[in-house]
Amino acid sequence: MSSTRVIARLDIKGKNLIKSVHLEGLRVIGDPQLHAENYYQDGADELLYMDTVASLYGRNNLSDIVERTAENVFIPITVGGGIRSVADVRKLMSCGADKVALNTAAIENPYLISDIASVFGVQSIVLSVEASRKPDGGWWVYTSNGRDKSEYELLEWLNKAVELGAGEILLTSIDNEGTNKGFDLDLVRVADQALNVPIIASGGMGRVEDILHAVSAGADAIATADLIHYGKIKISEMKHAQNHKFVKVRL
Amino acid sequence: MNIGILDYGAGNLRSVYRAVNHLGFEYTKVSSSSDFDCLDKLIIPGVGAFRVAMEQLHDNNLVNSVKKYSSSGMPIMGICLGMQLLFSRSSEFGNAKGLDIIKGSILHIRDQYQKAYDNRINVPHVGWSSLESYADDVIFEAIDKAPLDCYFVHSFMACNVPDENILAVIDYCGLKIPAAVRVKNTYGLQFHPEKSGPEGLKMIKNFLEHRF
Repeated sequence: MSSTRVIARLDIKGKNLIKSVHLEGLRVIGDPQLHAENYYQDGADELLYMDTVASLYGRNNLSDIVERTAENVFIPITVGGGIRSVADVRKLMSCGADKVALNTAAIENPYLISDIASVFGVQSIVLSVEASRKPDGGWWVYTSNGRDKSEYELLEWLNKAVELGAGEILLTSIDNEGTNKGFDLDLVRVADQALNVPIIASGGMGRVEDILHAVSAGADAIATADLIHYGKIKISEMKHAQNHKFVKVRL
Repeated sequence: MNIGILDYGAGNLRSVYRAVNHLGFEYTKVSSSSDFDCLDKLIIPGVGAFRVAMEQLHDNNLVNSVKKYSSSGMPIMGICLGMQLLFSRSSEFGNAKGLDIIKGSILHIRDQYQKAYDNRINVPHVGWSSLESYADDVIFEAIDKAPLDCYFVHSFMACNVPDENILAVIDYCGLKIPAAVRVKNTYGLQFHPEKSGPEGLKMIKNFLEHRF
């Protein structure tokens, strides 16, 4: 089997690495490239760059950051935010991205997924899903970094997107994001049972045991952000603590 | 030292370029048979489809150059699709002939899994997998890590490979997939060393620094 991946998630606004709560209320943390190189050295399995304001401006502004990062970071890099066309994907890949994360543009035009898959392969597409619990059970899918509610209910959207060629799901719980209270495990479980593509649990990680819980719920990977950005725990410490008979990580 | 990276118009080769530069080496792009003169080492990267890649090699008259280069004992490192091209044939989109430097066939992971377990499997195989009992070889020199995880992205796998050519395998849901192979000084790596962290870079460095 593949190892459980620990993915360093870096949300970017302008030139800065930022951190939010429920995908809102941004706080500046610092230079994304320095953080990215530290995480690579410390054993991160992948990097995930998200341009948090890209959808507002209709374009991804991360090509410079990605290009500089790719000179010193030799693990897969995923880039998301504001990607609207095959040409956008080509540009980011030429800067060093290995995969792209799609959300808003894919909801507006689901065939963007199949268009990109037919050129770059399904392994190049991570579907970024921002989900929030409905009062009566289930989840709604949101776009534009949690700002707008879409017309989709969770499973309807997941099934459609995977059918069109999404190779992986970045599943972010808006409710838990930035709270450190743990991943939304029901969300992971429901998605895992419905799909046979890898799921990255994102939003809410607060302690190392959350990795085990996410894996038990069906996650193939976890994304962590503020825990590592604020230096509360290092990726290497996380991985050493969570390499046992229930979880296998790359050390 | 003159390091060539085979450029036959397929996929994104820049991560391989970056890795070679990062290790302090210069490279030249190899896109015609005359580029093979005074070449010390050749890297064959590869992203994309087997048949298309072979057609591009044929169109650029590179097939015989690569085969001659390999049979004369010159060092080659084929990465991912670049590894698969070294084999005799592939079932990708019909049947396509490969470079036939290493005996064996490139077949779809799903078909192999179904044959063995009569069940479904996630394809492509994307992620970090551990090399099992990797052989004592120069490219693994000074990497004393067990398990040694490397980054894979592929839907096809090498089958019926002679045992003596296999340096390392991975276990993917019970399937033993050749991860590193060698014939003479021609290496094939199914994973991406340029995306496999410091250990992957070390393999590239070992290959580039060793006097074969």
